[in-house]
Amino acid sequence: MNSGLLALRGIDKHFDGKPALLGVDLACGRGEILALLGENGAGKSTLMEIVGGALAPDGGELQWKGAPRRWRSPAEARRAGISLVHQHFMLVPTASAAENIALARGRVGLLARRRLEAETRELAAGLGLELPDTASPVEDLSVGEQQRVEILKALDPPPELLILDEPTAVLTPEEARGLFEILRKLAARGTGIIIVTHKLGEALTLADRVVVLRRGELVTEGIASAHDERSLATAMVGEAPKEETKPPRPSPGEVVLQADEIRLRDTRGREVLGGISLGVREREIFAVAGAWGNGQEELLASFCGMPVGALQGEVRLAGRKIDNAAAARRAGLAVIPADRRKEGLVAGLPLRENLLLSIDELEDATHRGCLRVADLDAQAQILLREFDVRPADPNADSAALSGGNQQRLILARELSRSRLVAVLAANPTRGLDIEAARQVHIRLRAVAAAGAAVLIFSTDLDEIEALGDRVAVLYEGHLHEAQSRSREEIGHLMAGLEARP
Amino acid sequence: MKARLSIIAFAQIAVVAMLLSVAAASGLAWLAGASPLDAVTALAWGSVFTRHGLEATLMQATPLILTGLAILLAFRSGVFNIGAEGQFLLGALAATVVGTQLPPFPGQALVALAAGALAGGFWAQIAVFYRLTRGVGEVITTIMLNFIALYLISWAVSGPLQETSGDYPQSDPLAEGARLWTFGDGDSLHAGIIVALIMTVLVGVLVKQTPLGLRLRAAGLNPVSARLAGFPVTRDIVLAFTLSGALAGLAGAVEVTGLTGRLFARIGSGYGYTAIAVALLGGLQPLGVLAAALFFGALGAGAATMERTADVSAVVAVAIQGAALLGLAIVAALHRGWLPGFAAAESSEAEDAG
Repeated sequence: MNSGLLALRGIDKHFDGKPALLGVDLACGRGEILALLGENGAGKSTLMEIVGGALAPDGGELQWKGAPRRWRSPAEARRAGISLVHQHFMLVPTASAAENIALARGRVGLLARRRLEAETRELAAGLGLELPDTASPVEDLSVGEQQRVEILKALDPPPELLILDEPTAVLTPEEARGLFEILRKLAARGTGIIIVTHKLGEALTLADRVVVLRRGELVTEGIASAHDERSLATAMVGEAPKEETKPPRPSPGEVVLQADEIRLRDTRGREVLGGISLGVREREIFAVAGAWGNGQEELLASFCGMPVGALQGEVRLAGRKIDNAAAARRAGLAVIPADRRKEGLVAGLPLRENLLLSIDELEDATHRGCLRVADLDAQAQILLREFDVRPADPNADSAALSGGNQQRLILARELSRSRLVAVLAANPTRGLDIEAARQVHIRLRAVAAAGAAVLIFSTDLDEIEALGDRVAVLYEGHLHEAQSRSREEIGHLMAGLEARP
Repeated sequence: MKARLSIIAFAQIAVVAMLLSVAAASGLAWLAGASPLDAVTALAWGSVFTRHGLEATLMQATPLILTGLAILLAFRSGVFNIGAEGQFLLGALAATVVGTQLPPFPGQALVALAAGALAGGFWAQIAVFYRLTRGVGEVITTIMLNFIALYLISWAVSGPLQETSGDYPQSDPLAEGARLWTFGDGDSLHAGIIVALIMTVLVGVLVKQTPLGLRLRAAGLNPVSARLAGFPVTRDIVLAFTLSGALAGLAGAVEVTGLTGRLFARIGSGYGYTAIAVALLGGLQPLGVLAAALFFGALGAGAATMERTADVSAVVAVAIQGAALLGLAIVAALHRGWLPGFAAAESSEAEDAG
């Protein structure tokens, strides 16, 4: 594979003296699709940041089209033809899709809005990416739509090497397939593609070649057809993953989390929830599949008592009507939000105080009008150890935690509530590695077994299958329960193939 | 990321602050054609090395401690109250009304202080009203309200509150019972410093150890997470803004009842703005605000002496404050995460390993 686009030799990188990459060799040729696999912390993102010019390697050599190069900035790498789609969106939230794309292209001066929008729609259509709204600020778009803007940004102008970091995390299988088609087309035209992923099936269907990193070292490399999911998973974690066995299900009890015919119009008058009824019983996990942007955020917010827009119908928890977040919390609702940094944590507050971000828990921790800081420290320490949050230091700032630790911190807070009647979870394992995700699943099953009603929204079908006692699909604001729970039926519902009621 | 200011960092910054002021004072005095040595000596003697100097420092620091705490409470809660100046003036006005228009009664001084706090809180409420009902940013409204307050006072002291003799645009002296208890050499110190110290402790407890304080800090740093936690964010913000205004109003009342004894248009001019520098320099920590206010007070007191004995204009004193502040801001920024404005940029990019 030496039609030589990119070649890395012996790349080393240390952070604060700790090795992040050790002597990594990697090559990607023209028209090749390479899948880069590895658990969180394996060094995938670091390696791609080096290729994309955001980080400089401590040692080793980067060759671009046969010549050794050293990028001084991501912009230099971009000009040379390397384009990177980040997992975390790099969008200007108040600018529209069209403006974001124009900005990324470095266009300055007066921007003719209508022309930009037309160009953007054309660009999207040419690539087969659906993008309904090019004029609104991207912060009003769904997560899935925002990602499509990111991808469009990276493809304009067309790069010679396209790197995507976990691109399908928030896409439907249908959209993911669409993306793969585009990637294959681009590859056929000679673009080299590196896709960073932890979804093994995806890597195997899409890629020509797979590379596995573990703890900063390259452990496996080879053509995709020579591998299967099991061998790759073994390479990633270093041992065969334990078989997931579903424990026997306790019989569910009464319905505690309930929505009756709720309809929601957003602030622009668009109907985003079209009459949703659902009831989750005690000891039951209800899993809702579907691509982000089909009403998940709106339904979640409604269950939390904070719908955005005009809500009809009623949400009830343990018989109590929920019309504000405090009522939801006091009735015993645990929430694991979709965006942990924006909705789940407060950066700048120590872990001890992040563990108190629920009005009823805060009240419980109050004694004669004051917080008992010493007691809270001790309790926080126990919780942090139990949920394996590192560092287990109650005084550490939550902003300093890695993504996985932030998620564990939220779990520690939400699942240890003194009143736990129901759990709402949105993509609870997004961005976590295999072992961490398994731990989250075990905990969710445990709280369900202990009596909680659990409602999960996930874009990951494996997760839906692993957890759901009942499975439904949210599609364009309507909920369809999958009677058979088969992957086929779920996939059909997610693609909107069932007639709408 | 350090949430708290360590004692070592604090000591380092205190030393740097002193060196910077000495450097600025001697440099500027030299530029102004005076003897740098005389200037620095006057600065030191006028602020910390004599009893009189210390008292002058405490006196000047008193309103800055209170207004600095007002800013701290607001900024920590995500409320950009730039209106401490106006709230200070309203507090001074209300205390003057109590002290000059009411017949003498026992506890008049305390009532005057309470009236000042209420008036400052009320002045902040106007900005709250526009923020909540019309979505107008409080930065704009509070600045505008500062001007309204200034002209309101100007009108009051040349109209309804003007002294009986009608000579100057100022109020009658406050009734004896409405004045704060004074002590120290030549009665230059008044009970206001005690009020300020009590408030420092109260604000510290409120912010750090009460559930309201935690809710306010959470709302200030991330209102979305605070709402999802079920915190009454809107109600809390109204409360924080009002308390902030009340503290600034209290500062105004303390100034009138403790120091000036009457109201005039230029009373405490600029304390409300200097308070922002004090609060930020104090790292939005109660003890930091106390230290920063004392530092500013010392510079002010020392500069006054410098003007009298070393023949350096008081304008130079303001320049010294500015130079010392600028230098300190840079030093503080080097102490990662001390000044919140500088820390934010660094801590927001905690990356996921991967």
